[in-house]
Amino acid sequence: MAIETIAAVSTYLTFTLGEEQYAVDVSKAREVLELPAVTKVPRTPEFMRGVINLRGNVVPVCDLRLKFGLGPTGRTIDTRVVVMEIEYAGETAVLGALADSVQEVIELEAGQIEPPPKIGMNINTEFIRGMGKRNDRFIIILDIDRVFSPDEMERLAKVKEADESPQTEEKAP
Amino acid sequence: MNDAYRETFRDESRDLLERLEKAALDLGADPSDGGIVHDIFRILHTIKGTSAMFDFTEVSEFAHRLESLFSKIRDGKLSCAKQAAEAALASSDFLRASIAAALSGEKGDAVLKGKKESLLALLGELDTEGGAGSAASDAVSGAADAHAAGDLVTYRIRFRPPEDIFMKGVNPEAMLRELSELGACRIIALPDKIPELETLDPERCYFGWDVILSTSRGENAVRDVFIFVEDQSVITIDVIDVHDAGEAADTVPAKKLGEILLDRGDISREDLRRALQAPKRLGEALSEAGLVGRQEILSALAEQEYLKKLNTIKMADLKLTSIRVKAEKVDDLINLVGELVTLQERLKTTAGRIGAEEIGLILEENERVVEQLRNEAMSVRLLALDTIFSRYHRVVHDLAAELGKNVEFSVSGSETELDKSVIERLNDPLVHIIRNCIDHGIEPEAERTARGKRAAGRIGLRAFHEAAEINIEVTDDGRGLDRDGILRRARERGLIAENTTPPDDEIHSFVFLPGFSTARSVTEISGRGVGMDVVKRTIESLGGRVTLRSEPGRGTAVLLKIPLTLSIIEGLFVRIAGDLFVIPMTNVEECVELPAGAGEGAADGFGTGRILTVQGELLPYIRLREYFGITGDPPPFEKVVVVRSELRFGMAVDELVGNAQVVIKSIGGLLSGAEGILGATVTGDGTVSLILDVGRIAATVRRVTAARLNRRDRAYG
Repeated sequence: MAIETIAAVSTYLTFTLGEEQYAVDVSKAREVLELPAVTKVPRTPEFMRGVINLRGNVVPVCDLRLKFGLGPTGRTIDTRVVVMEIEYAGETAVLGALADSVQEVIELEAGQIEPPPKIGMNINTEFIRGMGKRNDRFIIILDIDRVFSPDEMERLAKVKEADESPQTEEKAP
Repeated sequence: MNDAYRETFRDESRDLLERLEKAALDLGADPSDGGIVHDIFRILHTIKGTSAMFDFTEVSEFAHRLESLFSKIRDGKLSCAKQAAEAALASSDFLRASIAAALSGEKGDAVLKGKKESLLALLGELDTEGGAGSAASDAVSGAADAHAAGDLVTYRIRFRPPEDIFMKGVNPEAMLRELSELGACRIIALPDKIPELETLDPERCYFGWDVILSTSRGENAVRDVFIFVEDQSVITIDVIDVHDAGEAADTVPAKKLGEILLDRGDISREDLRRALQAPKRLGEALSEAGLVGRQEILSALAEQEYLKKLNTIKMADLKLTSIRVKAEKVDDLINLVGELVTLQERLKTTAGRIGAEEIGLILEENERVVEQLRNEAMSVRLLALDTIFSRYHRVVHDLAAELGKNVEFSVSGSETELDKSVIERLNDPLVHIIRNCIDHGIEPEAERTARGKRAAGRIGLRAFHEAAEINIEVTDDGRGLDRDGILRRARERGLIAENTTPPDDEIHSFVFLPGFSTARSVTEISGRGVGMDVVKRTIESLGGRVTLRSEPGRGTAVLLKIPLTLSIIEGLFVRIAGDLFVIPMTNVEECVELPAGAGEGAADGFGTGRILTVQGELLPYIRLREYFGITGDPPPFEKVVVVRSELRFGMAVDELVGNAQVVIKSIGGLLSGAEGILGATVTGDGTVSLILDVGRIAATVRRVTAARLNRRDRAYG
């Protein structure tokens, strides 16, 4: 998928992971929840925290901090789940993303957004659509479809397989 | 053209063509069945009408051509029903292809054109040939049956038995009862012929009856009731209302008393005109003038009342009130109901916790309604198995012809209903099993006769309910599985030891192993193994089971057991390290205690495999903790759930919690890689529990066990 051109004025939902401010296009975000009980699904990547009950539907929840290598998200009074609709393998999938806190909905003009720097970033620049600038702070605008592309998930599954020895297989005598 | 209409047309024409095929095959088997001829006529008529509506002139013209052939057969002008049935079968393929072409906006290609030419030539031949023998004696019975099965027709029947009917050993009351079993009816006695008491002979029948009957069984069914007395009795049958099963319910116009009497011939138009001038109610006027008997008037009044009611009766007729709904809408509805069920559970839990008794009572009532709503919503998704069963006549017909086998195919229980999504996925396995029956099960005719069997092989397809499951059984009376061949192959593959012989059902179950069937020795002799592993996998993915019985020389039966719906299952809740998991009940056989320290590296036939002895039998087992990589120590006493899938094995868990019905939810594409997980469900407290995929876990257990076997072989070999 080519990098989409960012329209003249776009609306974003901002949230924090650790000290950094992040944003996703508001059209991707469906709702924001307080963190409910999460059921871990065994044998899935660590950053997939598990599944939650969203009004009777089962929705997977991921830990973006773990995904980006920033350490696990803790459970605090501000912890939220941003429920997003992402494009996954040609279909719309619903996914919850943990955030240390959810901030606000903002508008950014095209002029306020710069391309991501090539170096000096904590996270893979492929996941970044641009750097928004507001009140002298940078906001990392995520390309959330890329963060969870099938290729990316497959890559992670492979890494995981290589990391772990199968648990059901015991050593030969 | 509007896409929605297009889609409807495609769906409808597919249904119609399937029905046409089925009817054509039926007619081929029994060319004297007038009801089928009428069915075919109606189907073609509908195809003609709808395709004309869409300007698919090619299709509608062809359907018209075929229709007129069948209309001649129906009217007894032609007697070539058998040949026409073959032609209709061939035509259904052509119609399907040309409808597909028309829908995609293409002009039919040369092949299609050629096909059309040859079919039209065939129809032309039948038309003229049959015409020559129009008086042939095998003309379709019931050719003059104006209203055959299908339409809801209301009849007015006047039945006056001969007075000596009792002497003939016929009970008119039984006949009336038989009539009333045909459909909604109103019976009015006509007592006017009863003589004075002194001349009354109690052994004679003086009664007559007027019956108003609405039935969709056809006029012949009505006439059949009177078959033994029709010569001596006065029987008149008139049609007073016809309702086409395919149309929306129309209403019967209200009739005046005078019109009814006139219809019945109880009164002349002149008398009626005169009576109407009298300043009285018509009934009274007629009766006073002695123009019509009192009974006739009462009977006519009853008919009038009945016709008023008929509209309500029509609404009750399921056929008339069915509507097409998009499957997604129904799925949405089911999802919402599922949510409601979960919410109800949560409300109950909460009310119980805060001790709100009054709310508890309301909740109980609510629960009942929710339960009903759930059942109703589920039933919307149910389809009759006929939707796929009807195709197999064609499959059997074609394949038997291709392989030169003589096969009789019978279907029963096709009205059994099953979840729509399940039905769709059953098609491939069933076709596969039926193919196997014809290809490998049924012997060639010569071989059968030599063995003293009937020349024609029998294949039966049967569906029936059993508890919360649907059973579908495919049987044949062919040569059965090649037990020795399978045994040899199993020994070759090291699945069983050289000198042991397991029980027959275990031997048979080897054909379900993947790859087993590719062995030439088996496929060529018994053949049954081809792709049976795929059948098994599909059925298990539906939460069902496959079993197989076979007797050498007598035949084979494959039984599929499938849960009623995909979306709700009975599950056993177990706990592992604080989390609840659900094991589908269909897999669970029993639960046993895991002896402390059992299987910790105990040496036995499977090397270091975990083995447990349950009722004297060795059972491989796994610890779900280990399988799922859950850290922490298990409790001192673990439980083992003994499950059966492709093999019988145990799964050790921390604790058994209990069983309940659960609504299965997908955990979504992002987590589809989660091994051993079938889905998830929302429990009473609003949290999510995972449902185990026993089939997948079994595959792992088998792989591991096989790997150990190999190692053992190497060690000893």
